Parts: sequence; C-alpha cells; structure tokens
Amino acid sequence: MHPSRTRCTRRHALKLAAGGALAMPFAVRSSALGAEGAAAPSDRIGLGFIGIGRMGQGHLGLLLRYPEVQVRGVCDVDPIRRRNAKAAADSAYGAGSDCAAYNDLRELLARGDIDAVLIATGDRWHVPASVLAMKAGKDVYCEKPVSLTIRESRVLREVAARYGRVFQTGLQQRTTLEFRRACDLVLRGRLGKISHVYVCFPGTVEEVNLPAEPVPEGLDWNLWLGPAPWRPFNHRYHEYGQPKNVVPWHFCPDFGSGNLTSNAVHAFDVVQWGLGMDESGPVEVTPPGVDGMPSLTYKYASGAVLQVDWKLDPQKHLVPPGWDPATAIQAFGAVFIGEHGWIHVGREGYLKSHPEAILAEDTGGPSEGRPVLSHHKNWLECIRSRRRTACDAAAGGRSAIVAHLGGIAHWTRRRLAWDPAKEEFINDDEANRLRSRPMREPWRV
Amino acid sequence: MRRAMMQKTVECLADAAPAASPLDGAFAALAAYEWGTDANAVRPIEDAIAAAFGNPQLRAELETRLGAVVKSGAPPAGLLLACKHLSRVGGAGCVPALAAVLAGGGEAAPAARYALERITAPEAGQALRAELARTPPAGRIGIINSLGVRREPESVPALAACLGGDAPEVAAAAAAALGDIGGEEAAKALGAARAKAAGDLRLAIADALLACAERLLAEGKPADARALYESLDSAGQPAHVAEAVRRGITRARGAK
Repeated sequence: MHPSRTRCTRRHALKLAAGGALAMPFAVRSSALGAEGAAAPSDRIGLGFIGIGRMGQGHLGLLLRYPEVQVRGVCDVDPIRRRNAKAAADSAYGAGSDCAAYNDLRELLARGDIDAVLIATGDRWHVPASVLAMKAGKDVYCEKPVSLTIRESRVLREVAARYGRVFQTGLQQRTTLEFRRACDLVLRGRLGKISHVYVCFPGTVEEVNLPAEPVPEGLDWNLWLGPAPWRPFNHRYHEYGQPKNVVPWHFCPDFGSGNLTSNAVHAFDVVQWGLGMDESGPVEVTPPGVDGMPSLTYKYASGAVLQVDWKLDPQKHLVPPGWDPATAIQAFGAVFIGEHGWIHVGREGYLKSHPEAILAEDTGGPSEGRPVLSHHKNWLECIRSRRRTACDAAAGGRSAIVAHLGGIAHWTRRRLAWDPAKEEFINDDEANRLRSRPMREPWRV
Repeated sequence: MRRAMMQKTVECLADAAPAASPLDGAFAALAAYEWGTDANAVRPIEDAIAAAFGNPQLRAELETRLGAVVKSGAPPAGLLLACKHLSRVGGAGCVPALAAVLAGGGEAAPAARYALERITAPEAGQALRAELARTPPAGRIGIINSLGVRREPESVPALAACLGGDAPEVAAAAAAALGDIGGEEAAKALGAARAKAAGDLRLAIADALLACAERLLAEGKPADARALYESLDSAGQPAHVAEAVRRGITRARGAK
C-alpha cells in the first residue's frame, strides 16, 4: 500500500466516520501522541469558538489546556473580545498557533480544518449558529438554553439527527457525580413514586425599551442582534469589551426569558433526567397566582408536580418530613420528594437525603465506581467515538422547552395544557403562536 | 367679570373628554412610543391581552385598536410593539393594515411580517404570498422564511418559482421553506431544481429534500421516503450529507 494511504490522521478518520466508512468507533492512535501527551497538530480536533463573552472565555481557557484540541478560530462581533481570545490562543500555542479571529460566524464555519465549534453567544443565536454549524458538518457544544423557542428545540433535534452530529448541551450537571448519583437513585425508584420536585430561580421578563446609545467602535451591532428584531444599541444589552456579567441581555424578552432560561434551565434538566422524561416533558404549566398556585407549577403525566421557588414554605408547598424550612433550594439543583423520602442535590458535592440511608445504597447505576468526566471531556470523547454525549440536542432541547413553557405561561397568565409528544398547547391558539419567534432576515432555522 | 369667568369654566368642563382609562392611555402612549420611552406606559395593553383569552369581544377590540396604531404611522418602537401584540391576538381583521405596512417596504416592513407570520388566519398567508409576488428578489428572503414557518401547502407554487432565480440566497431560502412545508409537490420542485444547482445552493436543496423525506417517514410513508433518499444518493457530496442519505435509506428500509 502506498505510504500515504497508511497515514490516517484524526481529521481523516473523523471524515471517514462521518461518511460511514468506519463502522466501529475509533480512537486517536497513541503513536500520534507526543512525548508530553500532546497530539500531533494534524490529529487534533480543530475547534472554533463562536461568542466569547464571560462563558465563552471560560470555555476557551479550559479547552486550551486539552492536548487533543487545537483552537483554530475565534469569532465575536466585539473586536476587543475576539482580539483577546486570539491572543489567549496564540499565547497557549506559541509558534504553533494557527488561530484566526472572525467577526462573522459564517467565515469561521467555512474553514475545513475546524471540526467542531463551541457556541457561547446569547440565546438568540444558539440554534441559528448550531444549525449552520451542523449543516456545515461540524460537531457542536452549545451553551444553555440551547434554544430561544420551542420550535427551535425541535429544529435543532432534527438537524442534529439528520447529519449525525455530536452535540453537547452546556448543562454540565449530567457529567457531575452528585447529580448522576441523585438521578440514578430517583430513576431506580429508591424514593418510590415521585410526588413533588422543587427547583429555584423563578421569574421571567417583561417588555423593556432602552434608549439608543452610540454603538461602540468596531462592534457589529447588526450581527450582534442577528435573528432578533432590530432595536438600538444600549450598553445594558452588551458590555463592550471585557464583560462584567454572564448574561447581561437576559432581562430583555427579545433575547431571553430571564431566570427561567438562564438559570432554572439547569435544574429543569436535572428534573427531566431524574424523572426519565428526556424524550417527553410536562403536560401542564400554571403561572404563579393563577388557580391558587403559589409558584410557577408544572405537572407531569406521572402526577409529579414541579414547582419553582426559592424555599419550601409550609404555607405554600409540601414540606416533607425531615426538611428544615430554613433550607434554601440549591441553585441549579433539585429536591425530589417521593413516597419513601427525599433527595436534595446541588453543585459542589451537595447531596442530602431523608432518610440518610438512601444515600448509603449502591444503586449499581452508571455513577457507581466510575470516574467523573468533565463535560468538555465527554464532548471530545464523543467526537472521536461518534457516540451520544451526556446531554445531546434532544435532551438539552427538551429541557429548554420546560423553561419556554414557563415563560409562555407567565406571558399568557393562564394555566396551559401541553402535549409533549406533538409539542403543542391543547386548544390554545395564542399560546401555540408563542412556540416560535419570527426572525429578522436573512436568518432562519 | 365674575360671570364671564364662570361661563368660561363651564365651557371648559363641557369640552373636556371623559377621564381616560389606563388602557386608553396605554394606546395613546403606544402610538407615540419611541425607543427609550418608559415601557410601563404601555403595560396595560399586555394586561388586556391576557384578559382577552376567552373574551372574543375584548380580543376584537384590541385587534382593532392595535391595527389603528399600525395604520397611524407610529414610530418604529411603537409599530414593532403593536405588531408583536397583533402576532398574539390578531386575526383576519388586522391583515389589511399589516399588509399595507409590508407593502410599504423600508424599515417598517419587517414588523408587519413578524405579525403576519404568526397570525393563523389564512388571510395572513395570502397577504405574504401576494407581497412575495410584488417584491423584487432582494427583499424576498424574510417573506419566504415566514411562509416556510407557516407551512401552508398553498405557498408551494410561489416558493417553487423562487428556486430558479438569479439570486442563490433567495433560492436557498425558498428551498428551506419548501423543506419545512414538505409534501409531494414541494419535493418535486426541489428535485427538479437540484438537478440544475451547484455549490451551496445544491447543498441547501439536498437539506430540504432530506427534511421532506423525514416528514414522509414520520407520516408512515417509508417507500416514498426511501425513493427520495435514493434520489439524493450521488457521488461527490460532503461526507456528512452522504451519511445523512445513507442513514435515511437504512431507516426507510427498516420502517413499516
């Protein structure tokens, strides 16, 4: 065989795998690894970054440490952010850097040596950018919520499945030990039938109308808005240059749904996972103050009630035995209450139960005795193996739908019946109209 | 002198309008709503929209009043918000006002399109198709995208006609919209256009045909889906497209 045909780079193998030429998952050849564990440049996963605000910078800093990746492109409509991001990549790689900076994501996506992209834009861009990337053959890691609308979640799921793209949603509880353990226990029935689940970060947003301000030098405001309706620049939407906040724009309904989509969606994902609802969702949603509901309230077909509030108030909620009413619901976590007790899980190792013996049990589930992956590592391994990630487009999209249902209930101010299979509200034309948002041209999904 | 002053006061009282309701005030504010105006001034309209569910009379009144704002030449922020509200509660009655703004073009037109895209009355789709026929290619993409979201089979001929123009971006938008709508006629138009297309447009058409095939599978028509997939099985495609086609053929073969 000609020597050139024996040379199988990681990129070549990825293309073969995507083309179906490889029936089995493959791994990067160990011989391709250098003495320090760094893969040869041609064998590294070529990465692009789209959106480099606070979250994007965090992802970039972490992924620059992975020897199996090479960051080849960074894209942001803010010239300072993209300049800083390119400088970070150049500093990490030294003379080996081939990182270019882009204003327009379409130019980055046109590069053939970028295999995958990490999208950390505002919510309005998540699905349009993800769909463009997947149709260009790229694998995707996208920040949460993966969608701005219910329709977008469906389109995202369909496009990812159509092209067999590896998609990771930035809902990292899925690769965190305490969450895996909690959800294993719930899924395996250790609590019995689940009656209630509580999560925190209630609240959505109302119309805002900020005055026009001069667009900072070099900021491409038109592209920043992208598919959102045009409105004038204001510094509260975009913190020019180095950002101070994670999602400064999320108070504006054109760009997000406040706490529900920015924070509670993490917890909704845990709930969907723990209740075994990754392919479904709630069947009813009621906003606070309607029909006597003290908090935003969802119901699942199983009868489980999900409520969003900061604490369990004996006047408003079911407070189970063994629960201290002073306890705040863990941020991004959940309280599962069942026939046999409760489990309260949160970040940084927070895991409590009543009775305590529940946590002493070995579930034999996937969290037992297995090392904890990082969410990035899981994504990178799946790019190689072509397997499903911990939180793929379908699961991440449906968790986002839970948040969107809450937003629509707030805006319509009534109890809504939801068909999770058809993904439509039952007998409510107005609510169904809110499942999608018209996009500014030329953008579409 | 005193008598004259009293007379003046009586005349003033007689001229004074009855006290405006919060909703009246909000509509007046909406008609003059500029970027930066306090959003609380128009909040009562949101309250009224929420209250209009199950109340056809109030809903019709809101539609009429919002339509009047659209016709009034409100500033861009007011027009956009009026159209956003109409996208929720509007019906056939407000379509002429929206269609007129859309036909007027310029910066105001997108707001009208946003409302027409969501209004479920068939008149909204008719208005979009009528405007598509009048609009030069450069201005068509938004209308095409909205017709795709609406998924009305009546839009297929107009969209199919956009596949063959000189602007590849317009043709790609039309292909995507036809993929969203699906069905035999859409697939036929896409298949014919693909035979003549190259580059990015050819990929866009293939993507739309894949969407059509997926819809056929979901509708329980595996033989039709398989035929469509097999029509896409050609050499020289990007690897991820070729794999999508092969995966589709496999699924269609296995489907009952």
